[in-house]
Amino acid sequence: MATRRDVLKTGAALSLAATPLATALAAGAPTLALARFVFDVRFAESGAMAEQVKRLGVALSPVADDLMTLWYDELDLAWREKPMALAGVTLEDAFFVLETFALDRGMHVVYRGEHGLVENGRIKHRVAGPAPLVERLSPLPAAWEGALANALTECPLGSPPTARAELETDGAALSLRDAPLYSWIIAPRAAVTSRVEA
Amino acid sequence: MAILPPGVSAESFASAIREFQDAVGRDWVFTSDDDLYSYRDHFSYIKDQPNELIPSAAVGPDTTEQVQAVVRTANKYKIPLYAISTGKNFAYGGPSPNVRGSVTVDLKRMNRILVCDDKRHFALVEPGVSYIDLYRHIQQNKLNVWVDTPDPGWGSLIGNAMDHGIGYTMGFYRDHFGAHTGMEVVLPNGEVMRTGMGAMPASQSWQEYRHGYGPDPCGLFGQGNFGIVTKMGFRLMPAPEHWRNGLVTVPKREDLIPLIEAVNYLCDLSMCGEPWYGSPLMGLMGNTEFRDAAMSFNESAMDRLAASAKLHSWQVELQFYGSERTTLANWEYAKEIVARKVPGARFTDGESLKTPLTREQIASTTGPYPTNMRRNITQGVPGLGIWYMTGRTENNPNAWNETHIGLFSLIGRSGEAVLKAQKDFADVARKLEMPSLFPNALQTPVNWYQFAFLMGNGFGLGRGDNSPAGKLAATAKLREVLRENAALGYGDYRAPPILQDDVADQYSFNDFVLRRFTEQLKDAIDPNGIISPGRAGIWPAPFRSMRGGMRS
Repeated sequence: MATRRDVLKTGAALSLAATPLATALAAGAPTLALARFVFDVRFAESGAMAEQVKRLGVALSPVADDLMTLWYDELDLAWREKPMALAGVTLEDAFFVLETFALDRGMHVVYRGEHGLVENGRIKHRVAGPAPLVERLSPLPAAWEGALANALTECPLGSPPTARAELETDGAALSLRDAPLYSWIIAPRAAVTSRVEA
Repeated sequence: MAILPPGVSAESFASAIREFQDAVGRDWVFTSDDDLYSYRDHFSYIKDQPNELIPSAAVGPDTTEQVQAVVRTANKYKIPLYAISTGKNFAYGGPSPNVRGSVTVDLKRMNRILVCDDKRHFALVEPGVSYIDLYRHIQQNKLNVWVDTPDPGWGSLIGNAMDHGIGYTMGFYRDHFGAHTGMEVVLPNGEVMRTGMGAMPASQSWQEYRHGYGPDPCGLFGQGNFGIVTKMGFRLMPAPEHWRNGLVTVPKREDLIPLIEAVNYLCDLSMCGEPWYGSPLMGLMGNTEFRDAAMSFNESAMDRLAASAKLHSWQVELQFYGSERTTLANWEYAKEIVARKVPGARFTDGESLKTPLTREQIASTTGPYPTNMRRNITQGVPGLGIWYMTGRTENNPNAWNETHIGLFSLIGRSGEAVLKAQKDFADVARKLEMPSLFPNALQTPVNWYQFAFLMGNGFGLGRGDNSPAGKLAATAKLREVLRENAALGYGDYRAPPILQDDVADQYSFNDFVLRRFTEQLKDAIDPNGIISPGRAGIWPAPFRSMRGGMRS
């Protein structure tokens, strides 16, 4: 069974071997391999992102109002063996639960984005994470879901500097009331060392 | 952001860290900001403030012997420890200590299920065992017992019981501390003590007779700071074969009094599980005339408007465990008892299901009548869905709650007490200028603990103001609420560290003799005050000057 400290030790080794930042997202540079993409089935935006991520070959984990099935049937068992990387688009309560579990198992949040705050027909996106990933999102196209899905599948490994950005896109209101959606990447501390906080 | 324990030099702390590493292994002593991030209370009202309650380090022992070694080192260097089981006690401080700079003793690695007996109906576990873990163990081994889970179910059995947590099945099992069957504790001097029959080396009944012989000190360890519990037993409910529910409604406001009398009778005969009280009249709060009546406690107007809307005033959902026949008999008897006391009562049969329920049955929200019951917890199945409450809801339109505190006052288990508490809480809200739809004349109690009611202090505290000043103002307001409640006779049962002194202050009978008594004990057995100083307002002599420090 992997332990938290095992993860930390592996992390040190990986950090030394990590790709230099400037070329992190260059063609062929290694990126974080996602084991799952968790998405909330209740929202059109998360569904659209899931479709794109699936096309890129990542397994989908649909969730709705209780993560227990996903946790009990999949993640708890898998994470007992070893940490894994996953990304998702959910409401914040689900994100909080997964982040808290992840911290217990040698993982942490390396990218987080808030998508909401619709004003005058425009959607605000607050994103924070590895600088190359954030740079890649600027500017976001109107069809932001696809661009974000692509970026989430190409998170650089190692210890990239982090950056934050506030972006806007044209668009109608988000599909459920005006509740923000949250996009995120949870990674083994061994794989990406730069944690981002809210 | 490296910090030191209070009064400990950098050199001493470095020496202590080395000794902690010797005790538990270098891999299990954490001092970096990154490592300590998970030991913060992310819902704290003082997060990122200079007085945020964060640890200086964390240690992760794997055995009772390692806990002993950690305690001895802490004594040597006079370093306060704060033990957590899984640290999931959010709303009550999560993993954060009472004293900034404490060393967190993280017991998550001690996650062994030592015994789970489905013939004698008990389990003996270590602190790192969560409700989900024990549920999985029961399922995998096809054991014929249920776990009474809190909601969410990701926390530790021991941690939850130690904070007087509760569940949702039959009354005896819902009181998680009350359902314990003895414990093993590392005392402040590093010795290991076992309680009850565990004090007898050759005993075969540790988990079956918790009293042993002579005084039982177990109560000192619940919400206390007299040791670190490393093993604890719990009674488990035998898995019933059948579950049934039903709805009781009563038309008038004053009918709540005989309704509660009837339900108390049934509960105390162990005939039904947790009753879920409610009122459909919340749906009328959008009607100005009704809202004015509810906020001014105009009872005759409320009854009149409820009748014209063809709504009942109160309801209680009852649930029964047993066989198909016994649950039916209990439900029929419940109808008889309630009808005798409340002539206008009506009854709606709920569902009648063979257990264990399927996942589809547990997730189902349809039924003969609308229900707020979260079915998984009535079936001993842990869940995580309750976290939706911290997000955006109708009562919290502004966004994710950055802060999150649970405050529930104990009130008497009678209709008279509920109706009085509604008015009292509303008066407090008005006096403290906290206008909101809560509290109001429709607030109903929860019967988590069988023999008393708890009622939430659901005040409008300016939600959405997440500025540091806004959070401080909200905390100050909560302190005023606690003082006002105490003056009216309402004490809280649980609190996060930043409010524990304030709740302890509520219990002031005879010049705080209870606190003076526990602090005398504390000073006698923990002269260096190293075990969780300040927990539940119990401050050992070396740290006593910190009492009330979170108020400034």
